[in-house]
This record gives sequence, C-alpha cells and structure tokens, in this order.
Amino acid sequence: MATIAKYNASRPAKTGLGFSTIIMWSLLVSWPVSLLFVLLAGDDAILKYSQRIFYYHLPSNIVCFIAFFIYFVGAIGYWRTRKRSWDIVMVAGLELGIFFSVIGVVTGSIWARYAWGTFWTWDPRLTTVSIMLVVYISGVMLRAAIDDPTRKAALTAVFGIIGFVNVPLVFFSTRWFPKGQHPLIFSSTSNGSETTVGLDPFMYLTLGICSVAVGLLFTYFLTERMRLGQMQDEVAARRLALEGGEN
Amino acid sequence: MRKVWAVYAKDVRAELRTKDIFSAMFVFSLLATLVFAFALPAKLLDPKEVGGIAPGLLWVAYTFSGVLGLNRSFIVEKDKGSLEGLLLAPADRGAIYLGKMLSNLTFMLLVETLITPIFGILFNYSTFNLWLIPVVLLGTLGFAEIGTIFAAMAINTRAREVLLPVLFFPIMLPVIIAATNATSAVLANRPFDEVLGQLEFMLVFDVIFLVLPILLFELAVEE
Repeated sequence: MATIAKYNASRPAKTGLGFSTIIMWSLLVSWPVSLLFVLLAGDDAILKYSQRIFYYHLPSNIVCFIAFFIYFVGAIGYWRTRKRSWDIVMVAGLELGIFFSVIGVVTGSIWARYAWGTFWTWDPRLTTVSIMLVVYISGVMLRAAIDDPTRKAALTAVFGIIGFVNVPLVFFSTRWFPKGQHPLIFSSTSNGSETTVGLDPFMYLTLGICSVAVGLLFTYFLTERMRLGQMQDEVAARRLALEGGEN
Repeated sequence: MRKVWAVYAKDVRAELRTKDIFSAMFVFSLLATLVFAFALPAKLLDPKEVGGIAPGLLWVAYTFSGVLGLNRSFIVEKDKGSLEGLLLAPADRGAIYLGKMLSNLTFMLLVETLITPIFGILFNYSTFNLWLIPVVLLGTLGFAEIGTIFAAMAINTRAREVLLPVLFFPIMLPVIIAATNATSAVLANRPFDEVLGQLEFMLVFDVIFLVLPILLFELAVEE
C-alpha cells in the first residue's frame, strides 16, 4: 500500500489542456462536420448514393499504410537501439494498422457490392490489402504467443521488418492478375485500360475534411494506445517490484 | 564460409543418421497427394482438365511438407538442448542462419525431386520439363529463407510449431503466386516470356530475403 501511495504522490498533477484532450475535442467537431459534408456532396453520376462511402474508404486505407509504416519505423528503432519504448510504438502501429485496414476492406467491400455486384474480386489492389492484413494479423498471433516482454519486442521487430518489406513484393506478384476494376481517383497518366474517376471541387473538399477527421481519429488512437502501452509497462514494473519485495 | 559449411554438415550428418525430417516430409507430401486425388472430383483429374489445378496442388504439397521439415529442424535442436550450444558457438549468427537455411533447402529439394514424378504419375500429368528446375529451385529457396528465420522465432514461443504456418504462409503468398503461375506456364509449354517474369520476381524476393534474415537473425534468437 505504501508503494501505491508513493506512486500517486509522484505522479505529475494533471495539467489543464493535454494533447489528447485537444485531439479529442477536434474529433468531436470534425466528425459531425465531415458527415454533414458527405451528405451534402453531390451524387455520383453513375453510382448515385453509394459513392459516399468512398470519403471514409480512401482515408482509412491511407491511414492504415501510415500505421504499418509506423510499426516498421518502430521495428527498425528497436533493432538498432533495443529500447523498450520502441515496442510501444510497434504495438500501436500494428494494432491501428489492422483496425484501419479492416475498415478500408469492409467499406470497400460494401461499396463493391453495389458498384460491381460482388463483395469481392481478386483485383491486384484487393489482393494486396487482404494479404497484408493477414500478414499483420499473424503478427498479432506471434505477440500473443510470447510471455517474456523482451523476446516479444525482439520478435515483433523482426516480423515487422520482414512483413513491411513484403508488402511491395505482394503488390508486384499480383501484376499478372487480370486487370481489376478498382477505380483510380488520382492518376497522373490516364491510360485507357484503367478507370479513372474525377471529382468535382466540392467532392475534393469533402474528401479533405473526411481525411482530416480520419487522421485525427488515428492520431487520437495512436497517442492513447502509446499512453496505454506506457501504463502497462509501468504496471508490470511495479508488480515485479512488489513481488520482489514480498519474497 | 567455413562456419556455414560446419553448421550445414552437422545438420546433414544428423539427418543421415536419423532420417527423421526427410521421412516425415516425404511421407507427408505423399499423403497430401493422395488426399488431393481422393478429395477432388474425378472430372477435374481428367488429363485435359488437370493442367489447371495440378501446379497449384503441387505447390500446396511442397509448402505443407516444407513447413513440417522447417519445424523439425529447430524442434530437434531445442528439445535436445543443442540450440543453446549452437548459438554459443564462436560464429556469426548470420553464418548459423545460412547453414541452417542451406540444410533446410537441401531436405526440401530432395523431397520435391522425389514427390514431383510420383505426383505426375498419380495425376496423369507430365511434370517432366527441364525448365521446372529453376522454378522449383527459386521458389524453394524463398521458402527456406523465410521459413528458417520464422522457425527459429516460432520455437521460442508458447505455441511453438503451431505458430510457424501462421507466420509463414501469408509472407510466402507472393512466392506461391509466382511459382504456381510459372509452373503452369512451363508445364503447359506456354511462351517463355511468361515464365521469365515470374523467375525474375522470385529472384528479387530471394535476394531480399537472403540479406534481411542474415542481418535480423541475431535479433530473432537473442536471449
């Protein structure tokens, strides 16, 4: 008990406006705004109403790549320094990447049901994202099977580096697949074989607002997940200290 | 290089004495082939139709028996306590990895050379084509490279051998895609350009995942 009292005393008093509080409030503002814009944006010429899911689909997919990149950076950091703090970064990136890529896959699949008449095709992009998702889910399985925190961090790092390098290879390996019908919104070279879809200015604005909203959500989750990781580490350290004291 | 050879020779010698890994892999791939033959409708096994599925089945048999062998190669070491000894050896961890990888590669290739003609006979499907050799070689090299480092990782977890396929299959999917495409192109005598692209891809994959695990093996087996 004495230890806990000391712990509480040593904790810094909560200061007024933390980073995560700011993010949380901007989230509460940006999500309703983004929803409003999504509803106000004009109907797509062909797809009508169903196209609106795209405003959340694209940002989620971009964010999931950012998250997996953060995992990769954490893995490189752990590899070079062996510092525990990198493990917290890795877990946050891994879990959030899976979360957002599931959102991306599910929204895309719902949209595809209306646009293509099927939930799923083996289009190169769809294949790449699904394989990537499976790879990272197996990364979570790996973590779950290890007890020792140091080994957990080390193996997560090894897996993170190999898994990230694998993603472009997966994409190349699918280039022999029949050209899919995944539409491209932004395309520098418009070749006839792929569908390029343009957006009107209001749609771009909506997309921008939705990207900010999803980005904020991601930032909020990331900071909170890392804070949680730090707290977990602290609890583990304290438990270890307490157990050591009793014996 | 001499250290790589020492690890390799040790594994091969141990295998020659026990024939543990090899027999398990061979029997397993034989059984897998039989299961395919019974599980699939006879219509698909018609000589005209079989070309569409046989390359895929062949690589499924390779992959599954490969996982079996990869697991054994580290479980045997771990259970007999020789893994610690191996890691204590005054050799670079990369060299240990390479030796292990080469011995796994050897066992896998050996099983594949034996099972491929048997597969061809059972499925009425000609698997005899010299261009199949580079395809199988590059594909199996990728298996051995990723499989060896993942097996070393999986052995140190609570799930042990269960975990290896979970980690291994998703990462191997690009190689499996390329290898099955190349195999069906070779065995159907399709133009060589088609095969070449896949071979190049597998070569790139193999080079990347030869260098990376050598660097990372140290971290993977660290106590």
